Order: sequence, then structure tokens, then C-alpha cells
Amino acid sequence: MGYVSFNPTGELIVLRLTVGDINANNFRNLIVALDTGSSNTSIPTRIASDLGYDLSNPKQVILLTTGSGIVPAKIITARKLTAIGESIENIDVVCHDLPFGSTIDGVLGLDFLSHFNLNISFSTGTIELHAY
Amino acid sequence: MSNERMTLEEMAEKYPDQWLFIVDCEISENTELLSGVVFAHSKSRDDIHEVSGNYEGSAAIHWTGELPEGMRYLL
Repeated sequence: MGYVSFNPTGELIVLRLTVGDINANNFRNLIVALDTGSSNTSIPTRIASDLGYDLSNPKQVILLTTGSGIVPAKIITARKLTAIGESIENIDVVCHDLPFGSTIDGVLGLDFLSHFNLNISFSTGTIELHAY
Repeated sequence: MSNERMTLEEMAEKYPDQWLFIVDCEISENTELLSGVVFAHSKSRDDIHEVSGNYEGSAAIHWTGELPEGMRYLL
């Protein structure tokens, strides 16, 4: 079981997401928001490129519906994502840059979360991921 | 760059409302960033992403501030 604490009175549920590089040697640990309303996990395009993923040859280009419109976005297959103490290998993520002024680098979405049972307790400020 | 290892609380105190590029990271088994060495800091996230592009190795990116007054997210 994975487990983290969060600030239940905050405006966002902020978590850490570790993204492995294409050779599974190095990583970037990012600040992201938990978003159960988001289909996908997203990371900045620059970070994906830094980690060795070839954005000129993405797995897929999708139309991403955001709060500010519909924009094209590239999907890559990350070697490994780790969050809330749980990891998934070879998982698709969207490369998307949140606007200037954002205090997060991406979101942790359903494509990661749906591999687990997710418990969010606002009374205790804890999040648990349980394998099923 | 200082080689001083700091907790996130210490980083927030020293670099308020800034983006940090942190190396030599200590990460808990639950993926929480516990401590590290601040390699670069800036008010601009773009600056830190620029540093990331020039750094070979593992690292963390962190914002030390709170959500700005009057700002909300609709993701």
C-alpha cells in the first residue's frame, strides 16, 4: 500500500511524481496535483525531452481538452512513474505545459490512479493507494 | 551552488516563493521529497526547466510558495 499525507485545507492536493528517464537510470521528481478528473498524467514537454524521450516521434498526438480550450498534445510512454509509493512501468503520459504562473508542473491523472483503489481522507489529510 | 543539504522546510525559509532545482535528493519510499541540495533557484519556472535540460543525473523540481492570492485551479 502506498501512503502520503497532504494538506486537506489547501487549494490543491499536491503530490510528488517521479518520472524515470528512457534508460531507467535517472529521474525527475516533480510537483504535481492529484486530479481524478483528468484522463491522463501530464508532465512538461521540456522535462520529457530532458529525460531522453523523443518528442519528434511521439507515440500519439491527441487533442487535449483543458479549461482554456482544446490543444494538441504529444503522448510518450514513460519507462516508470512513481507516486504515492507505487510505481507503474511503461505507462503513457501526456506532454503538456501548464501556463506561466502555475505552481505545479503537471497532474497525476486516472491513467495512473486507476491501477489502484484510491482512498482520500480529508479528515486526516491522507491518501492511500491499494493494489487490487 | 552550495552543497548544504536542506529539508523542504529549510528550503522554503531560505528561498521563499521560488522554483528550485534540487539534486542529491532524499526521497521516501512513499515518493515524498524529504531533503536535497539546491542546485539552482529562480522565481521563474522556465529558468529551472532550462537548468534541468543542462543537468545529467537525477533531480527534483519544487515550488516553495503557496498558491498566489486570488488564484485558483480548474484543471
